[in-house]
Amino acid sequence: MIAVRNLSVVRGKKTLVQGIDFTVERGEIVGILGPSGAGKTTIIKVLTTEYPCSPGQVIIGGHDVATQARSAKQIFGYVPQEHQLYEDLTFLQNVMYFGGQYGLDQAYLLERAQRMAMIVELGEKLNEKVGRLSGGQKKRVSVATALAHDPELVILDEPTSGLDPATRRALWKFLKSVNQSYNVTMIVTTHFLDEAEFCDELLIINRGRMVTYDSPRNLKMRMPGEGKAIELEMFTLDDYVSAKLSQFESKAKKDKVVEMVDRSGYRVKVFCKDIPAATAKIPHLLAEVGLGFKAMNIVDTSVEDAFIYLTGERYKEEE
Amino acid sequence: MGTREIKRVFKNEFDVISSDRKTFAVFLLGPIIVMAAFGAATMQTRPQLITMSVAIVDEDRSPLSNNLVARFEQSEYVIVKYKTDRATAEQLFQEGKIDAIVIIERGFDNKARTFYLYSSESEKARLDLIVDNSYFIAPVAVPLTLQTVMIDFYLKDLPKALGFQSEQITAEVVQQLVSRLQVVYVDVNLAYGKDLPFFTMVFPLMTPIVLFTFGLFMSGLSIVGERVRGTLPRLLKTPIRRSEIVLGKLLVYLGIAIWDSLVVLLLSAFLFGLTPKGGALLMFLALFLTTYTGCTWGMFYSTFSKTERQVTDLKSYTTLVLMILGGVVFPLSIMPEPVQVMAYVLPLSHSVNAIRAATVKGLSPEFIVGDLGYLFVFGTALLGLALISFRYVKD
Repeated sequence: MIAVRNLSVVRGKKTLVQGIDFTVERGEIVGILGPSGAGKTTIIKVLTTEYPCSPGQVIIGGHDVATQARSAKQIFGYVPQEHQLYEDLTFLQNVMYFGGQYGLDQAYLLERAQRMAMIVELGEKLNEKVGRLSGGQKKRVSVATALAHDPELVILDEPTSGLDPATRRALWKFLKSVNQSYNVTMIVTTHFLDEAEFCDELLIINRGRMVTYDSPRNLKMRMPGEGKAIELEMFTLDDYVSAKLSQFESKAKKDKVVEMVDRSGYRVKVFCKDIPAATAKIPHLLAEVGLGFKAMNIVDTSVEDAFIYLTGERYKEEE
Repeated sequence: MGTREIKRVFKNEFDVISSDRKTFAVFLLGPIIVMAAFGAATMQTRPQLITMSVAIVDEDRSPLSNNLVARFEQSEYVIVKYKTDRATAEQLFQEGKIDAIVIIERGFDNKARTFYLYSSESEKARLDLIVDNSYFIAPVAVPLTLQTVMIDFYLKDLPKALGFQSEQITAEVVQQLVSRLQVVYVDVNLAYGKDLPFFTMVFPLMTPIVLFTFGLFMSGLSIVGERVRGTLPRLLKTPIRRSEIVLGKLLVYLGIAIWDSLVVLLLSAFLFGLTPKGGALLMFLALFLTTYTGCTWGMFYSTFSKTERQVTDLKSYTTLVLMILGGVVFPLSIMPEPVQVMAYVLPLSHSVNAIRAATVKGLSPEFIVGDLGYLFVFGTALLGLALISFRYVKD
């Protein structure tokens, strides 16, 4: 469906992204993950033919976006970060106008608009001006507009940005259902790592470079504990505890008990290959540096853990 | 009122306007361009604004007629632009390139002498003045011109031509001469719109600028509006071509332009008694093409402006410059040649010409078609520029 080869984007003297390679199969949901400024939107701009790649190649549905942009555009629908809708026009008028750009028959489009309105659960709002809808409703109108021409691929740029957690979950549920019902391929950028679980494949980028491209499960399995980590719950986390944890980390790494310690909160995550062995050794190592703990649990690792493990950097979700 | 707060707002406002380079450039350069247009349009005009440009047809070519021509050239109310034959002068007059024709008929010198020296019953020397009445300036300038030209002619040139020496021109002689001021018969013929109502006279001046500005304002916000709303980037990710966006939008405004032109024509005709002498269709075309040019000009601005403010500022200064150089405020004929060339390049002068020709002058279509053709070509060229500009602007 999509083949991205050695994608780089240079604007002026600045290299925005470099060396991105991935392929997407029909029906997959691919999440492009990275902190703010990582280059997610740049990749979307290349996929949607707005930016040329320099160098590199992007093929969508067999069409090179650089030389066959118009044909490539026929294949995808686009949901921008902001709503980018005509607020003075109705939901129906927006769908008809954007959908109409694909050379579809008006009667067919009207039928599609009505079906899309039902799918996004806004059937009664079809003749409502978009400006009068809530943020979440506008987002759904935006998705419906992108789906109007029955595309094989939908590219969504931060669709959950600015939405409350409940609306975010609802939108993902909806995207999943569209993906499964219509076998629509989806490329979704997000800076919320918890949304990675909804994706089949993840392209993780940081500072304009590709970190990895894999499924969420594989990402976690590639970590030392194969999807598991030890979580230490501390009593407090002040400068003293933090200094002691540093001592613990150096010692534990030296003794090859742990590979990485994430000390971002008072729940400290310890990543190690041999979890049972580490579980036995960690209390002693902590005692040696003079540090007590409240509880120790074995937990599942997350995509955020994988990001930290792969990049060595803490993930910043804030925009 | 806190001065610190005012200073903060001042600094913020300055930062805001200077951060938008295009708007800031328009703020700084706009007045310079408008003043340059204003200065260029009026630099040739004498201290008295009431000046008319004339073509002199000296058919007599005698010493006395030469004297009279010289008097016209010295008059501060006249700019002698051409000395030519009658046919050429009439052509220039119809094309609106001069405000008046001065015709000194063959036999002027002889008739003046005969009348003065021998017989007051004989035919008088004749001076014909054909004045374009479609501008307001020319009719006012006529009496002033004749006053300055003819008095010096009678008091200085004519006595010399009749053989009086300077020292002989005494008060008595002057008295005698003044009593015989009828030596030259001056026939002033006000061409165009002699008995037309004020509305009809003003119509060719006001309507082009109103319709052009409508067109400019309507389409000026079209593409930039999409940019500001954020709908343009989304639209550009669909298979639509940029040229299709420009043309699709323009068609809406051309529809409105047709409506505007019809309304102006019908209201003017039925409510204010305007008679489109050149024909209603030509009149409609003149009105429509004026709006069309405004629309394409606005569309051009819209293709590269990033904010509505940029377009609004550009539109305001454009309207001012076009008013000054378009023959709305000052007649083109009083402008220096290079400025006239510039004025004729701009569309509004052709709108004024065409609408005046169709209403006040009542000229035949061949005098209007050229201006209409120019408006169409100019508007279409701007449309081409808009298409090129929109193609290369990064959105």
